[in-house]
Amino acid sequence: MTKGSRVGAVLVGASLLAVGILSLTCRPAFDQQAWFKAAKLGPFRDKSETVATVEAAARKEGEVVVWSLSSRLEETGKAFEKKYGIKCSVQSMGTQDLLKKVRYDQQAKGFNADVYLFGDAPEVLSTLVKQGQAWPWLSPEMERAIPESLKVGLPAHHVSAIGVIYNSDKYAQPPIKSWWDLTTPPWQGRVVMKDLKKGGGDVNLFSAFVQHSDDLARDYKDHFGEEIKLDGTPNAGYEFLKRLLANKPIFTPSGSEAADKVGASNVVDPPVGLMTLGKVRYKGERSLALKWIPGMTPASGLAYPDPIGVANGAKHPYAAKLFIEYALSVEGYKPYLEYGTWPARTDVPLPEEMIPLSQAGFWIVDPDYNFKVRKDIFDFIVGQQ
Amino acid sequence: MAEALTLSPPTSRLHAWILRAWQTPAIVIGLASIVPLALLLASPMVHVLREAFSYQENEALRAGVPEGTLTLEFVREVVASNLSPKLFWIPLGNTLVTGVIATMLAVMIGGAFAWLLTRTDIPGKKVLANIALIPYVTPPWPIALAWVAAFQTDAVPGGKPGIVQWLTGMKPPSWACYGPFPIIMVEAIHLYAYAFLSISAALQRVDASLEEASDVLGVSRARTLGKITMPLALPAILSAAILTFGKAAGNFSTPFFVGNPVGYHTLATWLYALVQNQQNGRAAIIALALVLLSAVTLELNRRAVGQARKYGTVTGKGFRAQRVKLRHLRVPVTAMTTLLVLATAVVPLGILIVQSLSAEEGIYALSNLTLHSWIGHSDVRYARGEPGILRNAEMWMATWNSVKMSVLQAGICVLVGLPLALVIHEGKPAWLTRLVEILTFVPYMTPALAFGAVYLLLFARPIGPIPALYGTFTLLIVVSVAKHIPYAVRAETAALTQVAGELVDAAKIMDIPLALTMRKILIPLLRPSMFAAFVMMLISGMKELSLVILLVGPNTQLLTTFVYRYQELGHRGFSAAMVVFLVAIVVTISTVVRRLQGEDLAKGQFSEE
Repeated sequence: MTKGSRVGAVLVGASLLAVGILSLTCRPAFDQQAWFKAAKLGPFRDKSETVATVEAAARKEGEVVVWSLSSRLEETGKAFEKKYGIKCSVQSMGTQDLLKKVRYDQQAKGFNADVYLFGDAPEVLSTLVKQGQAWPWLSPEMERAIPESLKVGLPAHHVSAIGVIYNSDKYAQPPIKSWWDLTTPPWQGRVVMKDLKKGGGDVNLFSAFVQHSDDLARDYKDHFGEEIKLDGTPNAGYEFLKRLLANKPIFTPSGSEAADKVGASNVVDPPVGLMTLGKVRYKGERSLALKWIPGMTPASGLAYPDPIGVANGAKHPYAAKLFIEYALSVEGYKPYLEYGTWPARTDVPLPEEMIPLSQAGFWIVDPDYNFKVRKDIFDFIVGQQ
Repeated sequence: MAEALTLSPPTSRLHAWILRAWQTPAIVIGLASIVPLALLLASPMVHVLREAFSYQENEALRAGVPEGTLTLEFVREVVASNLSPKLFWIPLGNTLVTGVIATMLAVMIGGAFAWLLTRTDIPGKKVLANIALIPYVTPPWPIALAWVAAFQTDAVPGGKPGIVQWLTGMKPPSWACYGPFPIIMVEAIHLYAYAFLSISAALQRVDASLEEASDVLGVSRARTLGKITMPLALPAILSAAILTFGKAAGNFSTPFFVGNPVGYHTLATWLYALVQNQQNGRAAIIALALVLLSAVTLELNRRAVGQARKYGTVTGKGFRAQRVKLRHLRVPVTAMTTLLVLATAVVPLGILIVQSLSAEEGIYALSNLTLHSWIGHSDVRYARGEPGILRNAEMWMATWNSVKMSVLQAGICVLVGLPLALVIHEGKPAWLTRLVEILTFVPYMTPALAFGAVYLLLFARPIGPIPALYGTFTLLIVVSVAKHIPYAVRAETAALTQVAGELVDAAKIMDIPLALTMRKILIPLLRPSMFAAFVMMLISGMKELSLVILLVGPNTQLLTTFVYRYQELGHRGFSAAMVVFLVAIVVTISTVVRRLQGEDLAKGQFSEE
């Protein structure tokens, strides 16, 4: 037997061993019930659990890992670590990357994160949460402070909204009033939005138009003084989408680029934009003149929660709870206290110039409906382009 | 020995075969590597197939069927439904059209360039060759972004004046900025250097003595070029063209930045759009279409190369090609070439530098210049208090991670690739060789994102003695080695067969141990090819994004994920600064490494005389 083949024998042995171990360990060794009990979550959640007991347990765990769609939570994480001395790493990524990462991490039972802050609530609530990959937890105080409508499945951390934004340098008054204005000749080629094929909140707005097609039909009559005539579409919602897309809107790779096009000071003939109200906060730092149009008919746009929860199987469940409590507290919420983002809590003051969500006239996203029609809406949009 | 063999059924022929195989190291290595290779290299492709032909995750929930239910629905939707022109056929057409035209341009420019630099007395060869490599070592998206910065206009609502408009006062038409035209131009710019490298290598192999003979017989230069040089180099040029097309067709970022804004899609951008909309089934079908496209390209390439081998002029003999004197054309040709190199390599970088220095985009005035993106202190009024990139400790960590990862993965690939190349070279038994060959090639055709997904699934938690690798640096290395191993194996197999095949066979006959063969024959002889493969993989590692995007943890950020973050946040100046920085690092590393080795990526063939 030569030296080479002995090396080979070792290699064969090692790889067989690896396969053996793999096939053994691929079976779930994770005990879900034991985790529920130890973490006091899911069926074992104790709604009277106080922040003080959570804090004591969290300090013992000493660490918390947060996966977040929003980079603003990184600031919260730094403040949290400073305050409690609990090591905190917040990793932010895009909405879809986060969903994938959570799915695969849960599937592999890796449990590499403790807290998730999600975007795209319809997808999250209809899939991940229903499959038990994230669990709600709120202290009794927060339970009281957050309205029921924002606690379905997972509690919201904050609420974002999509509406119509215009250039306030060029227009003293909002240039439009009804969504139907966007389908008229003056706005041909002058509506900017993030490419709908990029997914996320913008597609949810389009689902909302279809869901509320009766409102749109009524608004059409109020606005133009005649009944709407459908041109081969099933309802006024689809008809609106069809006409909007036929009016040649401009699609941008990202929301911030849409904001640039609408609000930059050197823009000659500014379009209006469909975008998240948060973009208005760029006003100060990027010299963009952006303003939101409240009271559009039939609705101002679409509001959607960004949910927060404890990761199933979290290795530091109590630190996770403490982090959620802190992220909702006035102190931890600070990075989000900006125009265009509503705190899920109704008992904290809003940033200046903002009206309460309940008075802002938005449709609120309907996760079940959205999840169901999303593919149809996508196909409709693709078919129109 | 005997104990090990008792496991096998007592068939005498099988017994004999096992005995013989046992004594051939290449076979033992081949057998031993199958399982790890299948697991690490082929499982991502299995993942894609599963998503394409069964309902998984959210698709299963939406369809209301158990997860894993087999289906052909996704194929039908993509290729044979009302929507399939939009979902598939038009993007496919766009991919082919832009790919083919970009390839023709790249090969024409690259080929002319190769001829000028290998066969004529054009001055400044070495400098020209090195600058011409810049657009190739640059990822393609900065060039696309620079293109937009140059050609955008305020003629469309919400548009901003680009650099061309600022300089000339004229507003370029919209098609110049967005759509198929800029896709073709940007890809041609990015890929001509690649065509140039492959074609100049091919021209080098064309025996100059044939040209000399033609010259002695009094044939004109043009006729020699047309009747001797071209036919001899043609198969290699064809091969270069096919591979260039493969790169162009698979490119995502260029059509994403300059095509999508006007709704012009290629297969790669559709794949992305579908993934963003959680339509993983349809996305997997498009991914398989791309796999098929690259399989076809490679088969064509194999044939072209086979054609090239038929001409028996490829010899190992050194020669010095005779230089065509450009004479009175020397000045205009030199000027044009220099201009071209500058326009494709230096201008895009220049535009990005201007962007990184602009406080507000689209304003071209001294008062708008700022170094904030580079060295600014954290100031809440800019970019949410992000400090300038050179002041950002996390950025330096990301830089170090990127460099470390690229160097290590390239090194490991080259080392691991060698025994595998040996197995393929051995050629016996055919099924084993073929299996190893296929397995080591699958990653080349697998979408990078699928790698990220499967590696997260595999390594999110401990496997026996292997700890959970998620979030560790090791995992980044493992995944990039897996993704890049095809390049190493391919390069080393080719080199082994060409350079050392006979010697290795001789060593085997003389029963010299494998380790000694490796040390004394293989490594010394293959060093130049191994080194070239190392540099290419290093550069490609520095540019990697979608492969690692699901796998990076808070402490394992890379330069590319950092640029991506700035892009997402809309900090334009910062992302431009980061790109310039990234390009500078890639160029520096490849230059330094080449110097250290005393070897040029362009193989010193452009030296002055």
